[in-house]
Amino acid sequence: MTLTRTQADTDADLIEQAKRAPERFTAVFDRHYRHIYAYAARRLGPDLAEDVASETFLIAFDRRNRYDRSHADARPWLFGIASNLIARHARAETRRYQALARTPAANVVDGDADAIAGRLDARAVRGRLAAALEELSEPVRSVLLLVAWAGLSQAEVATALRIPPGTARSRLHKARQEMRRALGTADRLEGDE
Amino acid sequence: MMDEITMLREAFGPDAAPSVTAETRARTALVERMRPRRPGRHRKTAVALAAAAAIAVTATVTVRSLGHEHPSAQRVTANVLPFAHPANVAQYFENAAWTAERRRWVDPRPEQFMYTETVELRNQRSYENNNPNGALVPGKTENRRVQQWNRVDGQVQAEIRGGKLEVVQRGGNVTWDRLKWADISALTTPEKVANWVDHPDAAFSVELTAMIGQYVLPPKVQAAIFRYLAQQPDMRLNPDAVNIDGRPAIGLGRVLEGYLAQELLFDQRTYALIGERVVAIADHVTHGDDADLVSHKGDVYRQVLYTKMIIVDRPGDTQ
Repeated sequence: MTLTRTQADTDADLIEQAKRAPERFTAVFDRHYRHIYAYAARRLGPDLAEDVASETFLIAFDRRNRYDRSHADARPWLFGIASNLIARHARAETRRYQALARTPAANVVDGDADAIAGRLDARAVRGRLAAALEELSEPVRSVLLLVAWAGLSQAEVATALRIPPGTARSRLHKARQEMRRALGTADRLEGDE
Repeated sequence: MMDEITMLREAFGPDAAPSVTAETRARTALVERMRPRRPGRHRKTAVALAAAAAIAVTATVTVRSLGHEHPSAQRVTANVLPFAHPANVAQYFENAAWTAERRRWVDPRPEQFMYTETVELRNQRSYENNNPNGALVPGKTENRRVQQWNRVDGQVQAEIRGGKLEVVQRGGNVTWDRLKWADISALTTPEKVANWVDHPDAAFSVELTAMIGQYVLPPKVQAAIFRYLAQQPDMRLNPDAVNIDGRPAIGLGRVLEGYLAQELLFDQRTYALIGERVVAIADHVTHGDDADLVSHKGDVYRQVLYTKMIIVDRPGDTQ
């Protein structure tokens, strides 16, 4: 059998093909490795991210026969595997946030009056966010960061972590509240939703 | 108003990009995983390679140690590993192989001896006698030093028993099973190891992880075995195994009977082989005729530290 890749191949197509022709899985790697690495690096730093990202694809490859091909996009599946691996390094992640919380941001709010009036400079509050992330429980933090840093939707996060959608929703709500509290914007933003 | 999700995205800077080396390593590991594996390589039956020694008629002698250091003593001389941050089992084994290859070694003469010295964590004898198959019980354990000598040509064995050296010569009614040195020393590549495991001598079934602890293997052979194990599909990594003497260790091995992890232990920094252990990784009940054997996740059944594996000139020599 000859398998040819087309632009239209979804992740599900590639994984399905990889069941018969394992080398097709490298296309999944090529599509998503950098995103998985970037996500892991934000949570754990570059050294552990290298381990986590590599292991994510080895595990995914081993489990390719169990992939639910009704999900065309493999990102939730891959980020779910990565999240489980990251959870094993909870202490390293905590230390990372502690370090970031102590490190002053390189850039603070500039003197642009409009900018000051209209928005907070996120970089200036990195330390506060890092301190708040450290305080979150790992399951709650995972939901928040899969949305914020992996770019998954709430429904995709539920799929990734294999939790009910309602659980993902409540964890995200709690996490966002904590972030607002850390930023001192809780009162203003509560009314925005 | 910028919301907290956007702030999280912006505050921690742009996405980090992996190094080319990291990406290449990860892709190589994945491609390596895709290689077809030969069936039937992972035998789980242990070999009682030296167990028959118990039937031997023993003679007790005392041998004076010459006290000189043999050039084959384990010594890691290099410190740049192929994978600084191994990401998977195969990479860990490759690091271990790389380290093993750097041991100093001189091929032994047939009349020299393999000296293995281990420290086993065991339950105290009174408890062990009543619970021979039980897990190690915290607070009831003791360390036992085991010293054994096996002549390279397989004709003589020796052991310290009750503080005395007992030496046994093969002959007459005294015999035991031992792998031939010529066969072992020929296992210099993973392919040769695979062939040997797939076509065992009729007298033996081979458990490589047991062999590693019972024979003083040439560096090339040990490395080939590690590389062979790296290719096995059921190998698993325990990055946080704790060694018998408190040193952090990496555990690499396979799961037996669905709940027992049989692991070789490697030094976390140098990847030198330092021991072995068997630990339960899940709760399990084994139903027996007279009683059930209950295992709890985390129970340790065997823990051995390899303190010396060298070639010496005669029984009793320890360096």
